[in-house]
Amino acid sequence: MLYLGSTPISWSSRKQCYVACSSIEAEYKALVDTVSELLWVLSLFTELGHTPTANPVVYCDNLGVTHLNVNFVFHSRMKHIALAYHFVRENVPNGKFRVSFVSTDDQLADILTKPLLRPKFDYLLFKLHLSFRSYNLWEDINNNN
Amino acid sequence: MLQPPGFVDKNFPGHICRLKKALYGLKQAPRAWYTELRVFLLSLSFVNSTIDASLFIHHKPAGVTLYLLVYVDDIIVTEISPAEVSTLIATLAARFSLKDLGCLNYFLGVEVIPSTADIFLSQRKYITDLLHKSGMTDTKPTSTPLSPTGKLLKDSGDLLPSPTEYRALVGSLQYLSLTRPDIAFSKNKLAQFMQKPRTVHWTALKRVLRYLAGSFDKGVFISTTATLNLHA
Repeated sequence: MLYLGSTPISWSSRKQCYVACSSIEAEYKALVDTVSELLWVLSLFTELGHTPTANPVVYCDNLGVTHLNVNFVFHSRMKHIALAYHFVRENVPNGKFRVSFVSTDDQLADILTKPLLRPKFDYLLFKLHLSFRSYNLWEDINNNN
Repeated sequence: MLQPPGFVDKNFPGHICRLKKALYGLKQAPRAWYTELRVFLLSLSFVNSTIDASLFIHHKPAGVTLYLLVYVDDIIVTEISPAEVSTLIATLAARFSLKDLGCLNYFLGVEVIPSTADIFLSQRKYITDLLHKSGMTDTKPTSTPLSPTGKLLKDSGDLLPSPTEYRALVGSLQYLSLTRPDIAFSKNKLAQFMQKPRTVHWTALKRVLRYLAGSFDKGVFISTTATLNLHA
């Protein structure tokens, strides 16, 4: 889920076409997808002639993955992760964006990954800035038309 | 091109026609139209965006930029000064026959409602039409699109006698997630059973429709004043 300021501008929810051996691996793959989308939006921005005011931050609710991006360690558990997925790491040192940890409670993308109970669902809807137009406003609009 | 059905020459049924002009409805027509429009826009010193082939940008020396977004024969133009936009529309009208619909308020089924501090995008009409089509107008609304208990499985319940309706409705949800990130997950989940939908999936689909019935005028607010920083 990609935000511009407080507005969601791009989102997607899909099944990964890949069997992961660990949660880190699954989250890492999800991060790669997000970063690809982010880089696309960044290049669109450059073309439109706008530059974001600050470097983008990617929030991830997996501590392992956030560490994996700044700390270039290799060990047996992640030897098998395909080289292609490591392109995220290449972009972190050159400062294009930053990967930051966010606790599961504040993870906004949960709305795209699991069925939720009502309180949590409503809270995330509020956070998504997805809201109702008040009925008066609709009426105004209809009258104007 | 092949000889059109009903107009096949009896003496030379194997012959093909030489195309002098691409006509509406032909396979080549969209491409021909795109080239035509593109050449014209490039002659007006627009630049075709490398990111999106249907986006044209014109940076003027005075610092103003014109953006032109094309969807087949629907075009959105945006710019800070209204005068520039009307000049462009006049130029386009001289070349093509067009209808100026004024301010943007409806595009590809998405309602656009501008106000002072934000733009509101919603698919209110699309949802009401969808509920009408599926006969779900008077249902009891739910507060969440998917039940948190009970996992949807591939092979529980009976097969639906005709899966077409299920597939069509899930397809509509697909388009609906354009302005509704809240149903993106349930849509994806239901789409996984497109091949062999069963009764449980149909019930889950109806729940999504009931959720939509209770929230049909929800949509995304795009703030025009927010800072331009990205995060994901």
